[in-house]
Amino acid sequence: MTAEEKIITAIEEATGISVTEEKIDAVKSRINMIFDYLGYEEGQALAAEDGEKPAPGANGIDDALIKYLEELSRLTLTEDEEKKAKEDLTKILDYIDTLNQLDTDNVEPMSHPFPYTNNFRPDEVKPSEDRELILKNAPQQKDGCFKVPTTVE
Amino acid sequence: MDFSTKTALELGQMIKNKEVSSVELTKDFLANIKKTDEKINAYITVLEDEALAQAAAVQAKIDSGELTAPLAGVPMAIKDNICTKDILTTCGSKMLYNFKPVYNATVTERLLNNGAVVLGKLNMDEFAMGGSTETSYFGAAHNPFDPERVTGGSSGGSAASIAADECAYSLGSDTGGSIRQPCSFCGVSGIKPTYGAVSRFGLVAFASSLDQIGPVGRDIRDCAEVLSVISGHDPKDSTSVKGKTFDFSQSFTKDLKGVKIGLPTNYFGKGLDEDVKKPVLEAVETLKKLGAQVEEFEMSIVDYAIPTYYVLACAEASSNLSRYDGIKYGYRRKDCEDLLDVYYTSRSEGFGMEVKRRIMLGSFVLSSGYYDAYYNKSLKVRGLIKKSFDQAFNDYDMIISPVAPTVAYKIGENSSDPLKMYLGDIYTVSVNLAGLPGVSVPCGFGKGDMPVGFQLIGPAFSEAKLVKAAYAFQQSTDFHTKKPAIVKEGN
Repeated sequence: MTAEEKIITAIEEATGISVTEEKIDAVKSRINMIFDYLGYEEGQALAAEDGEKPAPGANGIDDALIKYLEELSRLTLTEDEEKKAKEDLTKILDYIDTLNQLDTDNVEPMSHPFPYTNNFRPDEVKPSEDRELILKNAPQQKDGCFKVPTTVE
Repeated sequence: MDFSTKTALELGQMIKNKEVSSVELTKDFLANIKKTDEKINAYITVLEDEALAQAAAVQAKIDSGELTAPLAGVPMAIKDNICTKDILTTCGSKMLYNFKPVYNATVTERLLNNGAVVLGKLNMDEFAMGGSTETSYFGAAHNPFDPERVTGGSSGGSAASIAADECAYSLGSDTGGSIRQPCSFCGVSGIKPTYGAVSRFGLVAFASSLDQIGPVGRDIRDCAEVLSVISGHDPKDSTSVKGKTFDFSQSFTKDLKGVKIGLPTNYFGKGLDEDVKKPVLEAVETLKKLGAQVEEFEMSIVDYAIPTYYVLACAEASSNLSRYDGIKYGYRRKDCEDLLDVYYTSRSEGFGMEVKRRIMLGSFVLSSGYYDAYYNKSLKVRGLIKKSFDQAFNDYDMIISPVAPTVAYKIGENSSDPLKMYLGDIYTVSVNLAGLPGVSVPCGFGKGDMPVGFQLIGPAFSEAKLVKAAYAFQQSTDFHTKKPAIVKEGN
């Protein structure tokens, strides 16, 4: 469900009036006008689809966003670190936003310094690394495998 | 004998002339490390016994005529994010505090085949994230010219070890200025090669589309020699470029007639300290006297280099550092209840704050809803930056600029304000974004008698030309020969 559809459903539920097929495009365009007016970016609207809660970051760099980034990054910060991360990220993203001064509409994204195409090597069978060597740095191992806590009962 | 005034190439020649042996030289450098490194902290690992054994083995091969390379037998050191087989490679992080790679990086292999004697592994900002070598888990490195000040970073150990005479040459890595800036801060020379010129196989990845390994040395000729050894295509790195070799045979002259250098006025404006600007502009005059033609031009896109760089570098870092999960190698928190717990606790305890900050920023710009606004936008600006350089190189052979806006600052001065720290990379990051080569050579002293360097930037694979200009400059100046008090006192 898109952000507009969600809003329409919410309005229908609250008012008991259903939006007819002919009107739906007109209503969607009004919703998008409101988005534009609020400076609500398409990206944020899309992010809002992901869950019931507002998208992380929709309200700026807040505690919820920091928690969300910790989860994405598989990190747990202390309360002090979270506070500092919030301050730093706010400052850094403010600065990064200066990029919006540049018109990049007709510019190709450049992910590499040189225009690489796939760089394949010949498909030859070669021995892989020795198992013992690969396991040498493992914090825990058992029977020639990396050992981890029980994941399947 | 005092070896501190000799370049690595001169030391290599002395070994061949039997004026000194590799073992004697190695002992001399190890003694210097003992004397000064407690103050400087350039090394994370010193390989005393291993280096002496290696020096003896290399000397035997030199004597038998098996090894003839110019740098054979000369003691050197390697940044601790470059893999060395069975030798601790920590990346300056608790996460890899016990990591002993089971293979050599391609550059390590090439150096060893060339008769390099490895004295140890050099201090750096954790995972090369930083500009001061203060974020190292093994303690900050200290600038040999004033131990209360930073070395710069992230290759702080690579630059400080040479300034303090603790090795003859070293390897660093440069993702946004990490070779060039510490060279400027410590008064030594360095090259950030063209992207793809040097294999990244065995370099612990930070931002894969920006990282390059490069040499640091007492002068630019040493750096060029090391670059010849480590560069060239490597099938183990799919981004290493085929069919490009460097020919420095025309680089060592004093004549710069016909060389056209562009001076981007935007690099010399607001934010550049006067005490840095002055020696860099004096270097411009020296280059003119040597025959170069210098012309001012505008390059306003550079104002956007830092935000672009931090979006892209952090995005790539957040992906690259997802491999540290506490399972395959490195730090692992004991007694975890489940797999998620292993990930969360190992990573939270293994990484320092700057690394966490960058992983989180990277996760943010790549996350659903922000990818276009930040990551994709930055890739587009990267394209604009590259285009801007391409245009400049239609008119000029190279560009001259400062390396950093300030001299080395006091330890702790900037470490609480990441944005302020990031702004110090203003003159270096665009070179990595565009994949270009850059050299950094000393050109004077600023506040507190701290070294200042200048930077030359050229088109892809123009290293020979950059070296030529830097070499001519060093032939007519002596800034690169100035030693810090800590070395002078020792002799």
